[in-house]
Amino acid sequence: MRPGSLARLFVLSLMLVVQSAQAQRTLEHIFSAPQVRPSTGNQSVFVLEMAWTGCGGWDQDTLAVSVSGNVVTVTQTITNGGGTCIGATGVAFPIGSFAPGNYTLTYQAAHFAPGVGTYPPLTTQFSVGTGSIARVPALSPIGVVALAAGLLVAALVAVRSKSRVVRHRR
Amino acid sequence: MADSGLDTTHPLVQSFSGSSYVGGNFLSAYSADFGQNPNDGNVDERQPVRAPAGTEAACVMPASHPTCLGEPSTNGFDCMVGSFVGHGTHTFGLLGANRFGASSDAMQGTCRHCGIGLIRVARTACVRIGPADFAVASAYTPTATPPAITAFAQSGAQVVNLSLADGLPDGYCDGGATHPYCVALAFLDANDVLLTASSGNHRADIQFSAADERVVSVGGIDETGTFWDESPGSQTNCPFYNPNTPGVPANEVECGSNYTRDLAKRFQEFVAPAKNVRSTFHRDATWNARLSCGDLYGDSSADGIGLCTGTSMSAPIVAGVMGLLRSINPLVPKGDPASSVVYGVRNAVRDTTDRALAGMPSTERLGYGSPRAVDAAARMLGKVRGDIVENRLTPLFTLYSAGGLDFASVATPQSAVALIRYSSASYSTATNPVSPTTPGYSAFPTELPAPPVPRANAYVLTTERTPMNGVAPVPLYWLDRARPWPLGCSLGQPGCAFYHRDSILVASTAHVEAAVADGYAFRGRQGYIYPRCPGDAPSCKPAGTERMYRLCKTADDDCAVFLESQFGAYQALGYTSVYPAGADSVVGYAYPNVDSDGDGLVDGLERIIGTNWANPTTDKDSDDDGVQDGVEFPQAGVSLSDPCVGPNVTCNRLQNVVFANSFE
Repeated sequence: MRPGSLARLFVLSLMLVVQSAQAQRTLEHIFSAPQVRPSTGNQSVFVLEMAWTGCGGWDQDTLAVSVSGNVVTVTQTITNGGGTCIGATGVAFPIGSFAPGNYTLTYQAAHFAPGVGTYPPLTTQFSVGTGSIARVPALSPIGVVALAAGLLVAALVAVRSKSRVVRHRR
Repeated sequence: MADSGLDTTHPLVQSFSGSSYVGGNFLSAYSADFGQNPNDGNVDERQPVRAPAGTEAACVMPASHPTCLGEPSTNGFDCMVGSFVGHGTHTFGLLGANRFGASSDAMQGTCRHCGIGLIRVARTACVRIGPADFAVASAYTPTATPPAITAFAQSGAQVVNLSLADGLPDGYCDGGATHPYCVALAFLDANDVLLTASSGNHRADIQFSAADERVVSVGGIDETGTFWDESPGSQTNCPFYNPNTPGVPANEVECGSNYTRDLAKRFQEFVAPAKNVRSTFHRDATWNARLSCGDLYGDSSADGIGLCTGTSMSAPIVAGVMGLLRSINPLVPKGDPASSVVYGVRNAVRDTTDRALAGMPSTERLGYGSPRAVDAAARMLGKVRGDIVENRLTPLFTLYSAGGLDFASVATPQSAVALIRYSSASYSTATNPVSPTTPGYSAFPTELPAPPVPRANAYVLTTERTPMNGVAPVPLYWLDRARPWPLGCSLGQPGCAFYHRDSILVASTAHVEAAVADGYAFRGRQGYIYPRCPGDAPSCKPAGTERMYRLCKTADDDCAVFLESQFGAYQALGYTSVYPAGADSVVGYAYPNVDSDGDGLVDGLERIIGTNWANPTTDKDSDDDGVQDGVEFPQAGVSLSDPCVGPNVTCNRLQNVVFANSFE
């Protein structure tokens, strides 16, 4: 191996370590204390209510809800910037309707700039009684594809992260 | 500026009231909504928007409510209307509100005549404001900011303000990071667009994007000029202090200006008022009651002017100063306060802050200090024979789009680059009739490959002040109208100039209003010219000027602006009719692009500052100090020495003996 190649490998390894460290940085979340309840505006629709610092923001168009059995996953792109604080203490995002049953909901936010770090997932449980029956939010074909693609990307990232660590240990 | 939105009908910001031009600085032609509805140019935070199914009842107005009706996007649907709004209106006013006087509704921003576009990077959202209370507010949409600031640079903005922050780590954009935010900052830098941003309000490290060295970071001071800190040495007086959780970072929210806590991190560049700052607001609106931020704070009347606190207020104040300086000399680069290799706008502000003028060093909290607009403007204007000059000249760049059938004339490099690089009707400075290159200014600042060299036929004044010759100038307004030509033709059709555009300059509000009524978009001021006098009387037509014409070629739906020395050439091209109908073909008087003595300054500029201009053998150095006038008083730079102070002064400008001892 040429000396230059060795140096490049070293630099590459260093970059991977840095990236890996960045990916594991936990960011200060702008939301907390999630709970799910029927909307006061439409009892057949449920809202995910969370406490909010009043700072930072989110991209409404990226809010996605997926349901698999009794597991509800809500994802969204946010930022924890602090220069735009407003006098608010919480948010209530409509997340659709659910069939009766007991659910576990996980809210997973992603920073709008990838690689900055991760937000801890927020989890809550809720029950839907027969009086609240509406419809299970079926995933559209696009939603199915997006969910599958997301899972695939997540799996690939996990595999790559693992291989980076292994490579570094060599 | 990219912000939460704007009350576009506020009397202190609107440029038009109905069809009447009323002189405000809001320019809808540069404005867009990137946070709510990208297809909608409406940036008003109080516009009704469709309420998503399941929105909390307290936030929703029924479809039958008058507020919901009449809006194409919401008609027939329940809607939401923001009540906690006004951040963008407040910051806008600090930069460019312009009602002057002593009345209670008077308010002026730091840049009196800066045309300002606003791109909305927020959306209307239902938020909780109490244990069981919900209300409608503007919430920040982070993904909208990078495209917003890019759009400003592509449309010719010279200064962009961000009174917001994003949670990106220090140095995130170092080393060629490819995130859209980083790409956007690099794009602004390459195009010499100044970006000012608030440092943040949590007594923490300076936040992104102010944390990027290419961005002017602006921290805050209070009413006494002291660094803004609500609770020095403790958290107990912080507005969000929770006695049950002492010491936690959450208590620091909105408690004071961010600053350079770690010298290895971003340096605070400037500070400006942040505490209880008075500015424009939506009438009767509150942005943040906990921070006493809203229309009713300060004087408790719903008059559209109120107080707010935060470095969001500091940044636009400095942005306005930067805009003022760039209007005085649009050719001066933005500069770098950490270096004087290229002495630019940031350097001029750095050297004229309160601390700089008092001989005090920079500090981690106050940076270089608080800008003093008057002194910064004086620095940008320059001194001749000891006097601050009243006015300068800058080239009116001449451009032509063959595909768009349009002659355009603009007074800033950024606008010229926007037309050349980022307009659908791509323009060039290689025009026929040919305009000469610009002495002392050889290249536009933009990304490679290099664009065509700057060319101009005319030079215009840059301030509204009467120059030495005693004739008061009038503003030159830019408008344009884009429409396929011939009308109704389609893209790709033979003979169709689909991206046709007509750019015009007018010098009266009546002509502004006539053009807007004809579908032209108003784009603000492009310098100043002398008004026409009856018969071109020598007593009022300044020496060395030429008549500036606006004549149109009906067949091309195009008007051109040019000086009398090119009158015959434009007539031969078919530019023979006047616009508006019945208007004088002569717009006023401006100076030709002629540098007779070859010192890098056009004759007109030397006439108004008082240096010699006629003879290439004897006039290049008016004070005989061995340094040519164009070096001492550069066309495209900040003058750091006086061209009329030397061993043998032959300037035309009289020495100011009245104020020679600095007594005024």
